[in-house]
Amino acid sequence: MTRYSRASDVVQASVAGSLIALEPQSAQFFEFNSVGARIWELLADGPQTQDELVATLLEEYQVSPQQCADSVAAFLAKSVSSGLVTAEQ
Amino acid sequence: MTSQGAAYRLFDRAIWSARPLPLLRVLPDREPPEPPAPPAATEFAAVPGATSGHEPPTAPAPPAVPEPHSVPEPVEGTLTPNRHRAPEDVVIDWSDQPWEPPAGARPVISVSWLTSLRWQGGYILDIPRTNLRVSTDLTGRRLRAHPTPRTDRDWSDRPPALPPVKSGPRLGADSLVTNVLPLLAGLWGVVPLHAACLDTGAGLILLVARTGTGKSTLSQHLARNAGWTVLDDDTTAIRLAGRHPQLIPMGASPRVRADAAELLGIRGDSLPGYVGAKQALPAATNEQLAPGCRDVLAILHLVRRAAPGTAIEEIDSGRALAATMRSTFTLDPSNMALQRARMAASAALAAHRNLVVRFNPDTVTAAALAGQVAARAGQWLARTSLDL
Repeated sequence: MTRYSRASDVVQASVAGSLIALEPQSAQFFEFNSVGARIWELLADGPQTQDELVATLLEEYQVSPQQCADSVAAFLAKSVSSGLVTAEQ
Repeated sequence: MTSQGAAYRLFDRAIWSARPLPLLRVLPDREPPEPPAPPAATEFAAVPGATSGHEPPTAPAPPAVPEPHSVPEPVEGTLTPNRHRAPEDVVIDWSDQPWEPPAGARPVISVSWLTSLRWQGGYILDIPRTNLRVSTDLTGRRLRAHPTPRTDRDWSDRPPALPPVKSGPRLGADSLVTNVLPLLAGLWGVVPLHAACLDTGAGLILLVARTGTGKSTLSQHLARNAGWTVLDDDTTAIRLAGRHPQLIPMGASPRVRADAAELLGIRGDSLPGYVGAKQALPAATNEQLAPGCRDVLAILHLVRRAAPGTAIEEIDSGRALAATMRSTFTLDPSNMALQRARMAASAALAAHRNLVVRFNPDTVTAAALAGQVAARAGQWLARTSLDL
């Protein structure tokens, strides 16, 4: 089961209600939407599986399980490829 | 070790150096405080019934002159008087001997003009262009400057904004002031930002830009045309009070190209190593530089563009944060504490009014650009007045 964590060298800040993260290797900035910011917050608690993230979000948002799973998968894939998140088996 | 030397001002620090630091303002020289006078002998009346009655008690010894580092912490906004060193002062030792970095030092920055190494005891910064090597402890307050062997580096690949030094190397002291000390501000607990800082009288305006964009020249035109005060034309420190950013000009003397100075009718001191290219102008006064709680009016990000004319555009906070963060700097990108501080400071400034000013220097004169910037700022200043 793959577990996801925040990359250790990413720095973040909130400004005007938005959460923005900097991936220092690429010097790229990323702005999270509210759901992305919530996932980012959950990843601060320690490594999470995709299923764990989906389960938490389903409790907090009115969304179908399939749509939630798709969104989380897309977020994690993008975050891993961008260097914001690390994945470990 | 360095002899006492003179004390200079940079940021809110006293910088001690036995060699002149030509771009910095000398701190006023003051005498050490007078020790309290011993009580007059007449205060020691003979004690009735004492055996002798003629021997006054021993007067208490006057307090010793304070040793270095025994001076109390200065009040914010003041500087420690000369002749006394305080723990937060920066002391520069100069050596004429080359020095090799200790084994285990690892590079943390390697760019054309700077190599920074981290080792157990602190950092080592090499400025190859001026043959200067500086080591510092982890506080950034104890520095040792060394020469490095001259290199035959070809600087012709530098962008036009940074022409190769044509008249010999800059003085090491000048390189230390312009290249090294601003990098250490992160170790002093603030975030250095590559920005000119101007006081409009109703708030501060930052001109954020890369070297060679024209911060200094535009600043001088704004001072002349709009009556603003140039507090710093290169580096401004950001200190957070909660989420509120305090802007603290670093305080080195402004430097402008000689042709810009001539156009402005300003005469400055020619800088060694900058001959024909830069002149140092009088710096803001200590009173003007004193850190305060002046409001941030706006942050202007200056960008050169190929299209003719000027375009001034307000940007959202996300773009503002990214643009500001890219203009802050650090001597150790792997230091997460420094990185978080940069991000927090950038976010604090991004919450203010941020604009991108794109201009073509071939079609827009600095004077015209200053007029456009001042006109735009006039709208905010008028609004501020109405708000009051």
